[in-house]
Amino acid sequence: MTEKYFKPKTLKEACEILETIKDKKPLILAGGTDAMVMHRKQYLSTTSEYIQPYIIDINALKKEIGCIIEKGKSKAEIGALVTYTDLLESKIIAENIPIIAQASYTVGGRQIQNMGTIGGMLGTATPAADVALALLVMDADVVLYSKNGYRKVSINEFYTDYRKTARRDNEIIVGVITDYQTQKEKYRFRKVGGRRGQVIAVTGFCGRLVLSKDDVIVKSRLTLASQAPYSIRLMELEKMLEGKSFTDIKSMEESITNKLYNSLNPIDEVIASAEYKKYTAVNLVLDFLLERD
Amino acid sequence: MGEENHAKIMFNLNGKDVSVDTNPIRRLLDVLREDFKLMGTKEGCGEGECGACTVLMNGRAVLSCLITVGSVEGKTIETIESFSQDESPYQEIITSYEKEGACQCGFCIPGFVVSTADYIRNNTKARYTEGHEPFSENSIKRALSGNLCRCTGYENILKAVTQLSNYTITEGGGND
Repeated sequence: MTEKYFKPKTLKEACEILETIKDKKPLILAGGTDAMVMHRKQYLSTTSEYIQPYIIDINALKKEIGCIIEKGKSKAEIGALVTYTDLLESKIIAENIPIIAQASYTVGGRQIQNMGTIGGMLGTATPAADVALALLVMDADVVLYSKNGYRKVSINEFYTDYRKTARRDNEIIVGVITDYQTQKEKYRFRKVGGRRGQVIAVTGFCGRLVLSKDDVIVKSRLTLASQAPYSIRLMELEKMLEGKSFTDIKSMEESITNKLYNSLNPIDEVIASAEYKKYTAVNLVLDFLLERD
Repeated sequence: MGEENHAKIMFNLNGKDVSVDTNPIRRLLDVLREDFKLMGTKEGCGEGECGACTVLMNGRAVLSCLITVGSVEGKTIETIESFSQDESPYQEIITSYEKEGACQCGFCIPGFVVSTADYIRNNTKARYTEGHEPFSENSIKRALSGNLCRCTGYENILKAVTQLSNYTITEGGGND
């Protein structure tokens, strides 16, 4: 479009543009619900001189990387430009991966749900992201594309630091691939915030327990948002739970509480103190494991 | 901003095809207010919290303060101004707000009315609603949670939207 604002019409074109300006660290713009806020802050800042960033606006690629597609009988690919509204309205998600719909339902207000995308959420890597937790409990793979072709990175290795990801400078996030949930499992997404709608998580929680025929936990995934520089999994606790039944867990309440409380190290923020965040995190995890509402 | 940062952007605005020659990084909100003199769309917080700048893009409520005008190319935009045109399918919404007196200082109301239009057009499409029936109190509150009213005139707004439960909108600018 211009020297600094590019609007490619195909994924291939987007990659070619990115390849030529990758050292300028362009902003790859999807829904803009996070990126535009940061951009505006920079623009209005009185301390730093405003330099217009290089932008690659990928919104014209909706047909190419904005769909939810079934992959065989037990997987789905969610394109990077799929919005939260798309997830809430998708039959594939509702029937096979409801945990993603549950998490999407609490994101922002209606407008943010209409605009915000999965790719943008992964790219800006905010530690408060809701749906990122659902992707973590599903062990999803992030799909990246560059001139060298496609590359898959497990979401478990995708976040590297505060707002930093494993995406290379010449790569575009094109989607995620996730398994379907199984018939026999317990799952829950919950978040604590100032009010029910349009809220950024003080603490977000997503848990998933896959059960055997006789209700023994065979796989457990527990994740928290807003507790660390990026979304985290509670791997130690997950290991403790595998092979246990719900009756076993009831007798473990105290050890879980202690272990969890001591392992968390959130920061004080405007929205909540570190102490309050830890307290809410412990409660969210216990409520889920002890089957409290 | 130098010459090189200009581009011609075409989209459909309130039923008319328009084109604007400008820096594509400008916010849609600024282009609507400054270039098209459509002052109904307000700037509140400017960071996606308050919903005062809500417009319809391809029939869905979006925040014009977080959208670059470059990304609007080829899309259909409807602002509050189009709602009062004679042939508008959204007139009933304004009538209902008027009837319930759902307006105090009025600053947030264009955003609320536009969000209501999105809700009426699209609320039956969602498959995951946490059990909230369309037009139930919880469902409406959810739908309008992205709009803030500092006069706290929520009760009357809720009443106005509840009364629209039998009203359907099928026409209107663009579908996604």
